[in-house]
Amino acid sequence: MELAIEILGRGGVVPAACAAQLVWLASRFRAAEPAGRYAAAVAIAAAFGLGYVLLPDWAALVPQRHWQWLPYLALLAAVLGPVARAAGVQAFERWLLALLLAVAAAWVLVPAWSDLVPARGWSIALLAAYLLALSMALDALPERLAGPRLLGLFALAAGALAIVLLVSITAKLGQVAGVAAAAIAGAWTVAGSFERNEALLSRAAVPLYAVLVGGLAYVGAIEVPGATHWELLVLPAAPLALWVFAAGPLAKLQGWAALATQIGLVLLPIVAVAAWVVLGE
Amino acid sequence: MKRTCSWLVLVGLVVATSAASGASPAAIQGKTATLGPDNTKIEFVGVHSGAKPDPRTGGFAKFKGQAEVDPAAKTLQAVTLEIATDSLFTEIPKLTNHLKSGDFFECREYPTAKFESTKIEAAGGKHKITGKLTLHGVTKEISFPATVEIGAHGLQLTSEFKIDRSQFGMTYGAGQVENEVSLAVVVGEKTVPK
Repeated sequence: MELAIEILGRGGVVPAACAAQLVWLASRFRAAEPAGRYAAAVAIAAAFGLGYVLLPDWAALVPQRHWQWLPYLALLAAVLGPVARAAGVQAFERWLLALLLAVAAAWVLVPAWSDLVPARGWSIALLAAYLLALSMALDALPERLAGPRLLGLFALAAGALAIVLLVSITAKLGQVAGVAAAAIAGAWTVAGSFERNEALLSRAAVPLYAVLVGGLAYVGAIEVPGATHWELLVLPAAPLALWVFAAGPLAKLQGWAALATQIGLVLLPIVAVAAWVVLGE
Repeated sequence: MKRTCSWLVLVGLVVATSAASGASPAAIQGKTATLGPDNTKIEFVGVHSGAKPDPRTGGFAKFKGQAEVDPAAKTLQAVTLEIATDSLFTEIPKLTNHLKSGDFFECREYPTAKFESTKIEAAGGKHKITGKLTLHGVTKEISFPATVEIGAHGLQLTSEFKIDRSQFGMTYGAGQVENEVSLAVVVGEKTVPK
């Protein structure tokens, strides 16, 4: 019972409600352009921070483990993501900000274990490249695919990661991923209140999603010695399936047919990886 | 999907030296016996909290150590053991991986566990061994009884005792898995990984 309250209550309902409340409050000021840029990213980072604080003392606020930097990386991403989306920021400047965030995240998330494979230097470079690629590929999605629906798909991928971690790797990291999923889901539920600023809202949260969920997938993948699960890195990248709808016959789909097909295609890699990890042992 | 791992708990740490018939005692050279998986077995048993304890047994496949003995008095003088925590094994692969993860042993962060005796009191074959156990990055003094036989063939030792995992910072799963873990150490019996 205590664990259920810990996971579903403090780790789920509280961060979701916090994020929803913050996005809703920001929507009261939606006429002001910065509100649209900062709302989702700041709400998700704050809600994740709150949920993290409510976890038991194994989730230390003063980082003693590599993954305990995640709340601070979320805060950094909540600033850099919206800044990169400000009017007047050039594409190459957006790339530089994303690169800065990816390198900072990789630097603290890659542990200094002597038996780490690849070695720490290579791991930092590869993780930074993964986070940067994830962030930029999602950021470049066409406008019509980047609305609140995108936040919903982020929550879906983060939720799947949480379940896989909880069931097959480590319950601690599963709970942390659950907090992230709940925070994103909370923001998504009220993202529609931003009306025409929806795409901006979601796009400004892309770097945060990449660092938080991509970072969690990495730390989960390397958690158990002798049982590395690189396939977990596919889960945060599942929303990239939306690129199939950027052009070609699927781009012409409208309404519910478009929605159902998009969700189905994003679910495909999620279900495949989850089944591989959970049932493959 | 059953969360099998969540039902696995480190309940006991057992280092046993077996004097059972058919066992092979650890050879003594001079006053030293070298301990390893070929002549020693270290097992643990953890149980779940509540009405269904559902005990889980595990062990370690890689470790090394030494026992100093007084062959004339037939007493144990000192013992040290260093265990590679990622050599942990159980009968259930998913449980094995869960125990290696950050929820329990946190093997990536703490790849070794150590025991070093500081005091041994002997009365006949019965010994009381006191020493420092380093597990999960925490060092605590523990004492446990052991039955020791020193003969022409070598050293045999059997010990069973319990430790509180929470005292070593393994606090995850409180309420689901008992904090008390049983350990059995048998010198004179080969480790057979499951």
